[in-house]
Amino acid sequence: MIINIKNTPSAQNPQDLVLDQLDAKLLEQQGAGSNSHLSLDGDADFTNLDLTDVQAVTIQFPAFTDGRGFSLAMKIRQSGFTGTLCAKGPLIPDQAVHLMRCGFDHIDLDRHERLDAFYRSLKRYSHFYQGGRPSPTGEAKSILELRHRGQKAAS
Amino acid sequence: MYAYDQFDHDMVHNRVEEFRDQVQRRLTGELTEDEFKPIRLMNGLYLQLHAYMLRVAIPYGTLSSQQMQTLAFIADTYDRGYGHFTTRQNIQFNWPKLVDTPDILTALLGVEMHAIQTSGNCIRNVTTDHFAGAARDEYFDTRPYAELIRQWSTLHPEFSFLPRKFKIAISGAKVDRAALRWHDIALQAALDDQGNRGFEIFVGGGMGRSPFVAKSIQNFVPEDKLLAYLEAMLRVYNQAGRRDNKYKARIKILIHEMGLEAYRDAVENEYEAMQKSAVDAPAAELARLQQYFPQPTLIVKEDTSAAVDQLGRDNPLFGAWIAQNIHLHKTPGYRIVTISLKPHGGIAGDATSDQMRVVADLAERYSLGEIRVSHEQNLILPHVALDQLPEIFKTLEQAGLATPNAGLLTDMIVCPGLDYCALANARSIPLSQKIARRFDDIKRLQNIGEVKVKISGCINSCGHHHAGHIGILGVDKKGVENYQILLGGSGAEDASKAKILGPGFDEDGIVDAIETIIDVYLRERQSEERFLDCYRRLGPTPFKEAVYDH
Repeated sequence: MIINIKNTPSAQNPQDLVLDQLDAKLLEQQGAGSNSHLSLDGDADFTNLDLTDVQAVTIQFPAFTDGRGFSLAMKIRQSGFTGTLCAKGPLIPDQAVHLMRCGFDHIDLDRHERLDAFYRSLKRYSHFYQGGRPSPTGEAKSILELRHRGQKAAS
Repeated sequence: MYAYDQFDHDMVHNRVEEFRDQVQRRLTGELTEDEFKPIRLMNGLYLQLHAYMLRVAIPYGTLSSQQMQTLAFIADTYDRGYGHFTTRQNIQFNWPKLVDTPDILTALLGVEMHAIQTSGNCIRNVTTDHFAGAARDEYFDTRPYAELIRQWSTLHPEFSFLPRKFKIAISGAKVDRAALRWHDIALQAALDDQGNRGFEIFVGGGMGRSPFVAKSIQNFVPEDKLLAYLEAMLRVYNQAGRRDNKYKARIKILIHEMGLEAYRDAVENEYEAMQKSAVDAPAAELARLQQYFPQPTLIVKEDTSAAVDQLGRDNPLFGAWIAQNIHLHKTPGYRIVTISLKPHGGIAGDATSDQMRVVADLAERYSLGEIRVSHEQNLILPHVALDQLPEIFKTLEQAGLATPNAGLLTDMIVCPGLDYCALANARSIPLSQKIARRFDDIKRLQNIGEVKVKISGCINSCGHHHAGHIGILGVDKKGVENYQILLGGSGAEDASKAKILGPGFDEDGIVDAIETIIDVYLRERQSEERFLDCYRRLGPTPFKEAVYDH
């Protein structure tokens, strides 16, 4: 099952994370041997990666403890990639918020009976100390910046 | 001291609730033990030989009186009336129940403390000089930067599943009291030509089975560029660090295999590609953090005291304590007091709840409510008036906390060893007690002078044996505890790796060997030469001959 973690702010219950059948099918089809959907391992050499015309990238996590994919996703987003970024592997619910904040918008789950916990992970924190990243609330500014919001005009 | 704002409070509160949820999911089986283990470790909860162990962070080693009172409360309520202060400025509770841990964390939150990232393959509790903000030899107080790094590293979305644990230390003084170069990343305060603040950055230090002393990667990174540079360093490590072998997964191995230059190039590339301004703290935030660590407002006093000197002559124990456990404060007329947690025959780093309360009360009365925890497993009262030392000594003496051995041979770093730890090969605590009893004479210890003895119960080196002037490593030799002896290590600014002297000994043999080594030193030393300097001048041969040739 593929879940959508991009639209978390509007999700009212865990079921809202589930992609509708059509979207899920499209995402899967994009992967079927097409050039527009890349599948990468976490240690993929980013410098030789050409993402022109690529619409979706799936990053494989061989184990939930193997965090290379988090950094690869950051690099891909940093390069300006705006397509679909999907995390795939034996990921655990507690990682949902981290995945989201490293630029993933989808998770391809090995197990799907823990949707509630994925949902809670995405909804638990509203602010973070690290900046320059997406956030489940849509607030991109870090706590370090938010503390001084509104002070710019005065300085 | 730093005080939480609503953001900080919410963060720790939500983390406690998340952990409560995780414990529940483990208890119902929704999380498997394999899934739960990294999660509980990331919140400081270990499963040891006999019980769970909870490791609580004391960020950059700074504690208030009130926080210490809460640690005493936790020791009494959820543990067996004591706690263990560690080499990473944490405190460990050895006997909590799994179901109680969320409540312990709630109690800690009440005094703005937590166990976040005190273990696991993530950025750990950042450590610093335990004299920060008080020492006379300091460029600047590094605690605001340590707090900044604490926040930046907390729940870092990219660096919570690193190849291995990651330890950052920071120091603002000329003398290294934080074992900087034994860390994955070390930050040494520096000033540029215009007097602007920044840091020299070292990378790739670490102990364990492959010890390395960290190397300098940047001479000067300005204070406002620190976080982005750290983020680039961590990103390269997260992707390139080895994950095929946990014993080769630390950044020290990456630096060793990749080479410092290649690693630096990769970091520079990453740094250039990053959105730096979004990562670095705004100037206003750096200024805000500074405000929590002002120069203490102390009235300058006479920097000598005839009365204290006289008392030192009248009471030899007090005299020894003044000589060993007292350091100069940056304000004239004040001193930094080291409270030794190394009573001869006791357990290094342990304090009972009663002792914690005594220290909390003393800090409240005499030290602006502030306490520090050192990586050498002692407690510090950082801001004490010289003329109040006699009263403090008296109270400490009654509480069994006045051992005048700071910096001396019995001020040992000792890991918990096989008495507690699931990884250990040998016991460390009983050995340290035997050594202390053998050298149980303060005059003799003072005559020997500075010797840093560090004992680890296994190759993981929690007792810092690689950095010991005299290091001891416990190994398992066909089912029998055996101890190797290493000489010549240092955790200070002259950091060096200790070298194995020769074959190991049993527990009694190692105590004899140390005495023999000290005898060689006393015979060979020139004037004021420290043990370490004497060893460096002579090399291992005379020590080896004396230990093995009889």
